[in-house]
Amino acid sequence: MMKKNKKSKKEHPYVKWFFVHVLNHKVLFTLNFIGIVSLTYLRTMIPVQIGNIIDSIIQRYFLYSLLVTMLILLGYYLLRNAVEYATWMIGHQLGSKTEQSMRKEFFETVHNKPLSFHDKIKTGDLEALATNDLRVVNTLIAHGSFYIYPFVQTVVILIQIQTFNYWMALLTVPFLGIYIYFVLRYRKQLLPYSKASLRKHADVAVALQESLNSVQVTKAFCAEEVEYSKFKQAVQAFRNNRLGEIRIQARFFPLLTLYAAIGTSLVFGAILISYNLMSVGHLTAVILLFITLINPTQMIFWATRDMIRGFGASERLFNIISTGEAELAAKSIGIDISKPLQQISLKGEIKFQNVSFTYPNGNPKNPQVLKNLTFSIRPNQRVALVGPTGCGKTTLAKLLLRFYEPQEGTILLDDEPIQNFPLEQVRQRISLVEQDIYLFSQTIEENIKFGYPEASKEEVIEIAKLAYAHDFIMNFDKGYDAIVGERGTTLSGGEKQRIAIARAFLTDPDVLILDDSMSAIDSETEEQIGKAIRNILKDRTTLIITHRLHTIRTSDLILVMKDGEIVAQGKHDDLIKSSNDYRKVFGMYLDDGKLAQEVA
Amino acid sequence: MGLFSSSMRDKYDRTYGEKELFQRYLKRLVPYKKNIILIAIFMIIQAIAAVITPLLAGFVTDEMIINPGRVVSFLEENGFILIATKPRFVLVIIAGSIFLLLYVLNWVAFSMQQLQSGKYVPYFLEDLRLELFTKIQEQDMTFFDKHMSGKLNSILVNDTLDFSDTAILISNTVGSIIISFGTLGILFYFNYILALITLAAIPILFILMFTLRNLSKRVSQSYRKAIGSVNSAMVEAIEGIQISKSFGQELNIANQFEEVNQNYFSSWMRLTATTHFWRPLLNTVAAVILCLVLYFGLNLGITAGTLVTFILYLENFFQPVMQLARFFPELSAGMAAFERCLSIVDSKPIVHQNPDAQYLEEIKGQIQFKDVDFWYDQENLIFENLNLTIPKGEKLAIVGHTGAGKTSLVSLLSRYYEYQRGEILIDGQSIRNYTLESYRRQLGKVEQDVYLFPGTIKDNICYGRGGATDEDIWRVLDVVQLSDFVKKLPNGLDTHIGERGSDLSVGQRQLISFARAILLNPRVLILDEATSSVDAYTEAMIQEALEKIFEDRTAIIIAHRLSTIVNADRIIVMENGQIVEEGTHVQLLAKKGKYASLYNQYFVYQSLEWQEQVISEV
Repeated sequence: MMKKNKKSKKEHPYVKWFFVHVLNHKVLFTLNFIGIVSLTYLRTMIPVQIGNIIDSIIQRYFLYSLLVTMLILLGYYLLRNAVEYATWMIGHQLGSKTEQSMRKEFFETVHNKPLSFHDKIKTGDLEALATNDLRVVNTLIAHGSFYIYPFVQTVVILIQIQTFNYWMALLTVPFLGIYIYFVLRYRKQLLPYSKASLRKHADVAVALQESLNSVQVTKAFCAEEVEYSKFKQAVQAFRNNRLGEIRIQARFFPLLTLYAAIGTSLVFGAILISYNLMSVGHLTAVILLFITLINPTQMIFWATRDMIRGFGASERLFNIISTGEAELAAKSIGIDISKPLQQISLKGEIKFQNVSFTYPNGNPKNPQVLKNLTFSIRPNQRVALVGPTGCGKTTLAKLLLRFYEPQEGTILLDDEPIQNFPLEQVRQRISLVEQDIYLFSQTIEENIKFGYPEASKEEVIEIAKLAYAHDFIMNFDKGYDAIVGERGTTLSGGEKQRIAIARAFLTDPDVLILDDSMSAIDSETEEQIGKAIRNILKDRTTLIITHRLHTIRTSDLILVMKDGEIVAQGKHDDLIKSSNDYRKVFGMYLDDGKLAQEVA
Repeated sequence: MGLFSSSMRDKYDRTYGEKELFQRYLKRLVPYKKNIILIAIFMIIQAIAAVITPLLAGFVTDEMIINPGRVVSFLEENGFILIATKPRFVLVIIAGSIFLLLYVLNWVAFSMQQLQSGKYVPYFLEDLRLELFTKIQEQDMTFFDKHMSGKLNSILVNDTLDFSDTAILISNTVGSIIISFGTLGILFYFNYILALITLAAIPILFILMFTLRNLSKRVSQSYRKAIGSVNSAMVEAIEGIQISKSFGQELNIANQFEEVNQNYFSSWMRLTATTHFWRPLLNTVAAVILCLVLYFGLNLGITAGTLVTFILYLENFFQPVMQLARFFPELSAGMAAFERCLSIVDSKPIVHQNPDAQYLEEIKGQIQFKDVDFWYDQENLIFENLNLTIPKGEKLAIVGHTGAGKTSLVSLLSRYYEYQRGEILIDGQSIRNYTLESYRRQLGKVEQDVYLFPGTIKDNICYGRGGATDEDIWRVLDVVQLSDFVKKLPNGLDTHIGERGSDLSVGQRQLISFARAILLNPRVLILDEATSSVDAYTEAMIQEALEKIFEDRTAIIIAHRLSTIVNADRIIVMENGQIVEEGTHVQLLAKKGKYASLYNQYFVYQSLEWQEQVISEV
């Protein structure tokens, strides 16, 4: 619907994307356009009627009785109001529907992007897009329709006027031409500012969010000045952009042209009447016709801005949606999910064959994180993965969940390349408890049930007991219904980790990966959780990344990593004698290979 | 159900009376009174133009009817000269020209008004945002525990914007009042019967508006709830993306989201339908009035010119009336936003700087807690009569169960929270005697929950100390054992580490934040589980390096790891906010008290000797 006078824009892919969404609602779209045209027609019919009435008064001749004439006029008015409201609502309906379907696509696409995409993008930016920009798209359609009125209406006005008087129509042509020119120029001038305004708005929010997140660091480092100046910069950029916008808006020439047309037509009309070339009623009609254009003109004063911002928002949204690959096949999104959880069952055998991996963030000189890894884990083995900070342990775990794809080598699951399994199922059967625990701000029960929403409350409690979370949960006033993160339910690092462990337990995975996920839990509790893992997940494969000695040495297999390579593997008793790198795990005092009694 | 149903509630420390709010609002406008008065003047000019132009149009119409076609013959015979000698027609042309000029003047005033509001509204907004930001920065951690960052964000970004819109509300209202009253006066002057008919519309209109307002209030509440849950659903889903992925729950989440999204759509449509209903309502009342005026007017035998005047007036009479009717709702919406802003402006930080606080040059590092009482909320005392002296240069380790008060102790020392009784002394002087900034600069704090800024490694390490040279940075990287890693990166110190340092491993993030603290060269080093995700070997290397450069500095270390604790000069054991035992590792073990049992419960697992027991147990 959005105007043919912008052909150049249509070359941009986001415009196409936008129209695909709009045209999903063809009926509404057509109705909206019909509404706009008929509303414009009805609007112009009222001045014509009034002009006729005035001429009737002057000539003292009424076609119908006065009452009937008035009722006809009133009928036009009521019809106009009804059509106006209906068109307005149709526009909003179309806008909201488009917003809704774009939001849906945005949500699903973003959710479906691989982690490498999420690593690169600022969370704050994504959030601004998801909340603010989508609402702006809505106004683009609802208010952008206003932008069409002046164009339609100038044509209709010209047609009406030429039925009264050619001279008047001739006078009107240059004014309407200039008017249209200014309407277009206004949009063009406003474009850079209004387009930037979304960016500036988001910048303020991002700057603020960053400084709120870092408040404790800022205080510790007395860096309030730094944060203040960052925020001030964003706020000032926002202000300057707004100033630019206002400067353009203050020179709103379409309105001036219209005013000049009204004034001039009165003078010119008077002269025409004095030449007997036009009736008084027609002059009134002409002036009233122009006056009906004032309202739409005032509308585009701000509707232009909304329209530009809407297209800007579509562009920003489209950029996100179109970057990067989707993980799951697009059509699998949105289908029925009430399938049973256990579709496949893994034996839990894991093999890495010459796997090498570099983080794909565009820099070819990026160091290789994993180098030519080869190892195998038998089903139901308890494996400890150890090594110094930054040696690639977490990366290895992420490859197992297919968050990233290795550039070289193969990962085998039950002797089959991991790519042969459906992605969702791999992730449902392999559970990862991360270092950085993220809990949703919903109830504790819902958090635990996250991976298996069908679980009963009893199951949740049972699992929570196994993860040593039940006792502290019961200490909250609302117990399992306490909402995470709300006042009074602030969880310590150790408590978060225990909930995350319960969440993973509940899915009854075939392979469990614990990525240093007990660092904030004291050793005794950890030992108890460890026992629980051994008991419930007896016939499961577990891969534990840890720095904790007691967990390491009770493992069936220890993989020692260093600089992205596996430098040693075996059992504790052998490694402690044979591997210097392994001894380092326990501190520098064992460096010389002696069992350092003084540690104890 | 589920995931996205969390509600967003507003809670304020205090509420404001309408009068107080309005007074404070006016007070904020005072600095801009020149602009506001100018805007009002431009509004008045527009109003006058709007009131006079219909009169002129009516006049011209009547003149043209009274002298229909008569000019023509004169013109044909005598040309333009005769027009000039025809005084009535000259008058028509003059009236028409004034009509034109008034319209142009109207536009000029409109333009000036826009420019004038551009001269202060953006600055008004900027000042307000900066003021709020400064206020937030002054707050202590109690404030941040209470206010979720999402709420603060919406106040500073959206509420300030909404409130700044009210800055031109008053001058706009002046214009509307003048137009409505001026129009009404002229209508009465023309014909009081027609004017009375017009006037009858106003009470009807207000009653309708009032009903509509109550309706839309209810609808807008449910809309706000819906938009709140759609937004928080988006945010949650984005922040928890890795969890959804690792549990393969994307489809489930998407379906849940669809429900929230649908709910949002319908409540938005309901809101739009009600809030926009005033327009057809107004137009219908106006149309009925117009037709009545025309009908009665013609029966009363008014002239066509008067009729034109009336039509034009009615075109622009109801608009300002409606604006007046919307004044209070708009004002109250602005005031609600203002109230949320004020909740920040008026919150007084509990930790504050004494007016006569001194600048602290450099401390030696002796720390003393004297009879300190502290609580977050009155029912749960964290400390009661806490006494602790840390001599200069001591390496003190604090151990104890979760919730024993270890972190609270160092938070008090950092002045993140205010203690209620007793005194904390540094080199014998109360820490409250010093300015917050100069005092905090003496402490280097490394925390378990690391926050890194999006930017380069260098930016992050230099945080809080702008003038550091690359040499300084490499030196601290050496200390935290990161220099080998950084050297291997293609961009070295200038490598971007992603949002919150997501390109680094958790252990590396801890090391960067460690380096950041050391670079400040603090007199007191506070390590709160600073190396929990770092391997033992690296940690031991750091310890050794630290001992060299920080030999005479005081250090407070909270740790779970045995090797970290064993080497401390002194260990204190905390339980329920009290120090229950203290001494060196050897002394405390010999004592066979709390530490010994803690050791047997926790730390013994970490020593190599423990081996056989475990294996037999499993």
